[in-house]
Amino acid sequence: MAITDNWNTEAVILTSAIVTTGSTFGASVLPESVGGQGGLPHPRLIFGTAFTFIGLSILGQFAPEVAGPLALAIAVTAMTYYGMPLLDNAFNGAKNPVGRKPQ
Amino acid sequence: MARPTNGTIGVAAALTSMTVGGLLIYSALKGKSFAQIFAGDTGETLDPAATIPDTGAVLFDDGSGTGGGTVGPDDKVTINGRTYLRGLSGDSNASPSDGSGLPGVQLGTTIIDGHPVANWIAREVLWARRNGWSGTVTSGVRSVAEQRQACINVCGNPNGCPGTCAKPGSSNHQGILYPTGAIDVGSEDQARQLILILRSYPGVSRLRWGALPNDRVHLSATGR
Repeated sequence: MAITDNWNTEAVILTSAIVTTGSTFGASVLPESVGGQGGLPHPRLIFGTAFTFIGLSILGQFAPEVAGPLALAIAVTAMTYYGMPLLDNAFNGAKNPVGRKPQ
Repeated sequence: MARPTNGTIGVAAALTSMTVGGLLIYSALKGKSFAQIFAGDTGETLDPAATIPDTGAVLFDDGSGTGGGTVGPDDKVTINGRTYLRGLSGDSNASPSDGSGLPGVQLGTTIIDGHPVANWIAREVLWARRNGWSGTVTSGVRSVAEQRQACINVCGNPNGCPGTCAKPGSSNHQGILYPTGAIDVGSEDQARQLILILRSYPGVSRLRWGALPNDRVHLSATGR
């Protein structure tokens, strides 16, 4: 039995989309003093995330066993990418940039 | 020939959408256009926004006492009350042929190997790296405090070490605008390789090496 057998793929994808978008916005609007960018994310980041999850939603209709884990992996990656430097800054006094400043 | 099913079309639409999304995200994070990405230009991006606009840079002084020598007033720029030189007039390095496409004033820094490097140097180092340089940058722009610490690491004296570590406040490592700015690389061999490769740099490379016999990993506009 695969781990995805009892998944509600739509819920997984929606949750992942919210987590990814939320962490992207969160990391961007954080003040620069704690490593954020102090502003909204670059439009290409927003549109890119939207396109990606629209694609995953469509894929979820035809191959939920692929789309669900992929969405989850993207969400975990976003959490790690933004969360690790933030935690490092908060607990170790580091001054890492949270995420990479869009050029 | 069999017609594509709804499933096939759906999967194709999904993959297309995800590909476009991924490209948009990559483009935003890397600061590259789609054309640059498809052309294989995925390296570091110069930072014209000047994330480190004023690090207490050494002002240009050719020794004439004028603070600017033959450079006219139009070639100066004031940032936060400090006056710097612009990039050289008619700057050959600003031509698009080097791939950076950043014309005019060369403000700002670019992170290379984890170190902020003055853009006029970063432009040359990144070009060299694309053309075979295998070395690493070990130091770029430093604050006064970082310069002091660097000198402590070199000779134990926070106020400088003759021939190897300039007095804090006067080091080229504290500048970002040509002719100030400097980098250190991983070894003497790496520095030599970099200079050799830069002989083929489009236009003329302004990075010099070898002026400090006891600091063989240091490169700058004068080598000092």
